[in-house]
Amino acid sequence: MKKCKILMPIGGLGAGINQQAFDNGMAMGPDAIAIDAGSTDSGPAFLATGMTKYARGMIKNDLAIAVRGARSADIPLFVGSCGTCGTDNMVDLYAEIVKEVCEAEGLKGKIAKIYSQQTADTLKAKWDEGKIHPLEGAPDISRATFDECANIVAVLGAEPFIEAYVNGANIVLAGRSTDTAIIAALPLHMGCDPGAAWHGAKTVECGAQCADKSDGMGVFLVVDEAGFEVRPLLPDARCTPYTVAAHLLYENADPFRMREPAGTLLTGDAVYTQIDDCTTRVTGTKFEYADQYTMKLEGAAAVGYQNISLIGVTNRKVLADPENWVRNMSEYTRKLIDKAGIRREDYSFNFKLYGYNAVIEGPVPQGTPPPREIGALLTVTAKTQELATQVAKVFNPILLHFPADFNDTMPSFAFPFSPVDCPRGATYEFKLYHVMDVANPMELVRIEYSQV
Amino acid sequence: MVKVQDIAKYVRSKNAGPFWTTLEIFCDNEGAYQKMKNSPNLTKEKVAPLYNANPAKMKRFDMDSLQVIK
Repeated sequence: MKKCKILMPIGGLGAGINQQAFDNGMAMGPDAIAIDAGSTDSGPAFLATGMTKYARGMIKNDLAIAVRGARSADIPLFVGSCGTCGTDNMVDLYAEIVKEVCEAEGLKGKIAKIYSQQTADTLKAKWDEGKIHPLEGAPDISRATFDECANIVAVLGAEPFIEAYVNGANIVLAGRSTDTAIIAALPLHMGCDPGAAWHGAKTVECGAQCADKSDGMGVFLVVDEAGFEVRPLLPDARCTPYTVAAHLLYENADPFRMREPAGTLLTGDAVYTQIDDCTTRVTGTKFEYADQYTMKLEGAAAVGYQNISLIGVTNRKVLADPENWVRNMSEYTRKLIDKAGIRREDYSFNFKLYGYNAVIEGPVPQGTPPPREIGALLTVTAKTQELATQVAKVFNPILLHFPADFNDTMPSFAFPFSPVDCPRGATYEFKLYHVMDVANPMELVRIEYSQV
Repeated sequence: MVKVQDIAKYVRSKNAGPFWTTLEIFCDNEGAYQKMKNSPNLTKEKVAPLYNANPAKMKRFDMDSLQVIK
């Protein structure tokens, strides 16, 4: 029976691979190492600026462990979504780091760089052909949205990884990819069951999240022609039918149908069986190939500049009705901002009252006792940094002293730093949640090879 | 009134991409799960306003085999 073994040493490259867990995984004889290096979970700033959320030193630490392991066993290493956002420059950054590691340690190999960043012109042409469609929950867009985005990436499926592997690449560094494509590529290429390959990949994409303990960070996946098996890398952890099935719920909007570029994973009939103390086997998953191959688009852009101020409040009268205090303070300060000659349409601001209702907005349930203290975070947004900062400066004396009751002596609130206002640069938004029809999986994908 | 936190095993929430939020109630016994599943206070119409959400845009999955409401 055809079988493909994948070591998935960590849920996110750059978070710090556990060397012992990695070594245990290597001892299980993997056919490939697969690691996801990206996510949109930390917000749109990374895509909009083409940056990674991880420290360079941490990326290098994890890449060094993975490259060393892959080259010493002569198995391929697949890294997808380089640099959190998967833009072209992040693929180049990872290639540069891999080169540093290889040169320092005398390792040799063929690197494939897979690029999937798209220009606005390419996408406008697709838009004009009616080949870009919204996903459920997508924001409304127009043709102009593509120009507004600072960076746009198309999310890679498994096929470009397979192409790079077939062309002899030892280390594959890819732009934005579906988490699962990175892992499913080799099992699909080796002729394993597509349902098992995609479901197995979905199960391990966050590393040891699918086990009862996640501190080992990684898991080992075996896909065959009828199903897949998953087990943790550290001896005290277990993958049980419950933990494996429950992980399928994680971070998706529909646990029974998951769309990939090539089709849809159908998990409704999956059967989970414990086959030894720490290993679970899954069968019965189906993969339905779609008539049209689609790539998801991710795009982000700056939408303004911000200045933030944080103040600490313990004043009993303020805490008795914090929202009333915010309302009064906002109204009072708006008039002062008028006096400063700043037009109301040129800025906006909001308060978040941490310790009260910053996380779950709106009125607190009746009978909630006043908090002991709160942190009031003022965020000012404007078209320029200078304007946002000027508005924050109008707030400065108010934030220091604004009373709940003007009949009282002026209170003083706690500034944690001076100046209390912090220009925090641009603020960003995700602009796209769409898919694009492509003629074939490689239509808008470029691969470059090099030797180290 | 029985509270979710009194009978659930745990509740977790996460984003699913940039435009969706998930909320999952895990139970570890059939009694608690059935109580959650059939509660008139956990309908879309009741839960959505707690999160400033539109009930029409909310999805609910009852996963009997896992005793989970997503």
